[in-house]
Amino acid sequence: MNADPDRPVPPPQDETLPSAGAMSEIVELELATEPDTAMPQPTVGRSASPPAAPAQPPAAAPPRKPNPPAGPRVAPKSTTPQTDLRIQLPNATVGKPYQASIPLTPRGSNMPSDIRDTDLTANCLQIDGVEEIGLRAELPDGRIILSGVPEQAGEHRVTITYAIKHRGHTLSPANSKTLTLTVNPDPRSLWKELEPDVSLPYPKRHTACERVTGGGVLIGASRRGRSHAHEAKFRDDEFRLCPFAIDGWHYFAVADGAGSALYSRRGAELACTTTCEDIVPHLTDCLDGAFLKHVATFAQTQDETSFKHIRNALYKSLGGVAHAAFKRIEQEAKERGCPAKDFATTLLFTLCRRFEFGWFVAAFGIGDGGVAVYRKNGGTVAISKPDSGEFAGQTRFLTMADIWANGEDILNRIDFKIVPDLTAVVAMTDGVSDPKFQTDQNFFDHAAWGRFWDDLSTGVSLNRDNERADAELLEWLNFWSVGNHDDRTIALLLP
Amino acid sequence: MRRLPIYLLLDTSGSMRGEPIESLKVGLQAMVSSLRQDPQALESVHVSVITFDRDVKTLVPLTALEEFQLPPFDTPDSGPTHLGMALEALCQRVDREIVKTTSDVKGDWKPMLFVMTDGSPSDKMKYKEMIPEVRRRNFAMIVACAAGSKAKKEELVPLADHVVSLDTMDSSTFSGFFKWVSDTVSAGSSSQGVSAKQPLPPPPQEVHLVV
Repeated sequence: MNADPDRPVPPPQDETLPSAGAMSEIVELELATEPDTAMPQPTVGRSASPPAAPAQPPAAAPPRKPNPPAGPRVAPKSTTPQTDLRIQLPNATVGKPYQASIPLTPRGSNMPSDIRDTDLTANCLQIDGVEEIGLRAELPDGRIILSGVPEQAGEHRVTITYAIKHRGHTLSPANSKTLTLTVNPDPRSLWKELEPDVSLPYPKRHTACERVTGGGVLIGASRRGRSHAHEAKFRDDEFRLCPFAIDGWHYFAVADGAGSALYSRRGAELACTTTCEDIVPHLTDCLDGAFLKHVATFAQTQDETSFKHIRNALYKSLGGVAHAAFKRIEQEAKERGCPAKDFATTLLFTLCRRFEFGWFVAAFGIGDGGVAVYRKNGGTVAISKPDSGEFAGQTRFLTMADIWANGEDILNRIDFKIVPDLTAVVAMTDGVSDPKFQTDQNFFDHAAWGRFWDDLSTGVSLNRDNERADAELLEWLNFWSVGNHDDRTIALLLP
Repeated sequence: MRRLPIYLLLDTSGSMRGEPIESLKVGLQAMVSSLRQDPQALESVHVSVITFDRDVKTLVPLTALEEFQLPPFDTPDSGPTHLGMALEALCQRVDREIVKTTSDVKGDWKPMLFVMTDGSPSDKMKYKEMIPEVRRRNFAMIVACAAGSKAKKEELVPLADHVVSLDTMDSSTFSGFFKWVSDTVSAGSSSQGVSAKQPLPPPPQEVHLVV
């Protein structure tokens, strides 16, 4: 070669891929050692040594590795014919049945032109590492079938030994390849249950349930969601069931503290307790005997005058106590020296009373979740319009001052229904309505409610006399629903 | 069950050849493994990987974390860095893949975008043209990472909500960066639905917050 150190050394002339016609130059396949399984073409050399150092057949002029050209160092591309196997094992999950039929796709590189990839086949001869994971393997032609239920999470090494054939003749008898089979952990096992810092204000128990008798039976339950448990946070939900000395009236409330608000758990609590306490005086005032007469009249006639009386009384009472709750929260916020929005919460409450002709059910709502009157034989009706924002997850809160600016808006949050009978009045936070109803539309749908009631009945004996109904309700709230790990609260009246 | 889509736009241009691209792969794999330990991420996170050098390739279309596998990929010897084209491809994919909320379909959470480059876009006009298009796609967060000494952080500022820089492109730096990406995604998956802009988790020492 040129000895002049200043001129770059050109690559050797014969450093080219063998051309189609020059079959005699083809060498270096990782081949079988048995002569009878070698390729039919006579000029193919053989190698019994490991792939790293293929033997040179004496007759042909082998492609030599070129001298590195001057300039940037770039590794020369190999011209040695080689085979490889494309194979991919789909991921698995602990506890989830795994069934995969995995094709083995052989590929050749730098092959003579009469050896096409499509003519290559591969067979797995042996597979190691799957039994430890809990899987079984079958090894039919051209593929691997794995099945079973994996037990161990992790990135597991699986080694296979395989042979590659060209049109039935073994090209390469025993190669091995190490693969990774990723087994995802069982999501349920990843959820942690952590305790919030003991120094935090407004501690709250993770669960609550209650049953109140007298007239209709009220039951309620509330449970910290898996998200909050995982993040060592408190339950933000709350509920209250109010027994009244004044016969006939029933009241219950649910509230959902805003996730981003620091003291929303306290906001939810204050919202429930304040409305429950403050409604009492109204029962002998605007909701007195005169009011009851208006309800009775309206039940018969649906007349405008009665309607207006009822509506105004509800505005004064329900609107009044909701506003009182807002004020109470403002006061607490001031005492703590932080903005009211740190106590942001939704609030849904309902006031119900039995009449001779049926039931009167009124409700007030701010935020998501909902209140409905469920009637098994038909005519289920939702009596709160959930506030929904531009994208789900955004809702209105009791502490938003603009809610209180306009009487019309407040009035729109109040509704009532008179029904001849009912199976239950139910209030729930979105921790229950999201997994069980998914959309607002379903919350208004009688058939969806039927399914919900059946679901609820699998866990709770929903009759007045069941003294364990509240404990059963709390247990039912522990249901598993992928993607739904919010605090869950539900309260209901059984007539 | 709502998805949290994560888009990763990764520079695979010639300058990444060798240790940088290998470190990138290790970091990516570590990120995926870490996210797989988070129960909320495992339920909702979907990942897409788009690489760009001279060409733009969707290496992995939006895929559930449970099923996600990183295929092999490499860099060409040399050539331009077509970040502008990559952003264009990203917008097309987002338009095709993201599910919007309607009255009877629960759509995706707002997606997140992480862009990593070790240089500067070669297709500057396209890049400038695409920035408003990307911003219009309603990402919950856009993070741009300027990796190594040749990366131009200032050019990334108009694109991203947060720009971070990495001094080197070795494996511990990339691992640190991707662990931080994983923490950010985890925080995103647990604060789903909270309307306030989520704060960034604190970055490791190898990751410098520029903006």
